Amino acid sequence: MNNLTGLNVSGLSNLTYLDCSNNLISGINFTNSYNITGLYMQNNRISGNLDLTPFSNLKAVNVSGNNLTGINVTGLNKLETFIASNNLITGVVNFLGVSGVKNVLIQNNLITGMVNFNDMTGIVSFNSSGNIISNLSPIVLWATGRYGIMAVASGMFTF
Amino acid sequence: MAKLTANIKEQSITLTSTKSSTINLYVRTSSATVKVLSFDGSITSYKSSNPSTSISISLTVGGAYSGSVPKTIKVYGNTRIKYFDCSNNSVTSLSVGSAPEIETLITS
Repeated sequence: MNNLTGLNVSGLSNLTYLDCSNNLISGINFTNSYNITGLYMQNNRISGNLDLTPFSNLKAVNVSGNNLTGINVTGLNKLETFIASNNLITGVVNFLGVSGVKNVLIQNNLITGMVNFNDMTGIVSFNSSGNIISNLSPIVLWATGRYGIMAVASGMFTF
Repeated sequence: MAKLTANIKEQSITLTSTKSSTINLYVRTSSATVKVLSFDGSITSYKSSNPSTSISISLTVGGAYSGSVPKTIKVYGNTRIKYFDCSNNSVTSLSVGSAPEIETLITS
C-alpha cells in the first residue's frame, strides 16, 4: 500500500495501464492521457461524478471502494470489465454503446436503474445487489443466465 | 560531411516515501540499462539487478532517516522508461512527468 493523496499523469499519451489502487487519492489529473486500457483506482477517496468517456480504448476499469456519486461509461465499446461497487452512485447508469462488456459489478450503491442494458448480450457476470434497481429486462436475465453468474437485489444466482 | 547529433534526454521518476525499512522498486526501459540512481542521505545502500532492459532496486533505509521521514529517490533511465512499479512502499508523492513515454505505472 502507498499513501498518495493525488496523482498527476497528464501528458502521458503512451500510458496504457495505471494501477493506483489502495491509496488516499481524491483526484487524478488525466489531461491528454486517454489511451489507457486498464484503469485500477479502487479503494481510494475519489468523489463526485467520474466521466470515463474520453478513455475510448478502455477495456477494464475498477473504481470500487470510493465515494463516487455518478459514473459515465457511454460509448466505451471496448469495455469488457466494469467494477464500480461500494460507492455512492445514485440514479440511472447508462450503458449506451457498451455492448461488449462481459463483467459488470455495481453492487452496494444507490442505483435506481440502468438504460440501454439490453445491448449487453455478451455479459458473463453481473452483480447489482445492494441497490434499488427495478428495470432489469428479461433479455438480460436470459443472456446472463445462459453464460454466467448473476446477482440481483440482495440475491445471488448461479447458472 | 554533415554532422548528426542525437540528444537523448534522460528520463526520471521521483518519489517520496516514509517507509522505514527496505524500499523496493521495479523499472523497465525500452533498451539498454537504467542508470539508477539519485537519492538523499537516508539511503544507506542499494542493490540492483539489471539484465538488459529491466532493473529491480532494493534500497535500505538507515541512520537518522530510518523513521517515518520522507525520502526522495530519483530513478533515471538512459533511454525511455516504459514500466515503473513502486507498490507497497508508503509512497506519499510521485512525479512521473519526466518519463513522458511511460506505458505502465503501478503505485498501489
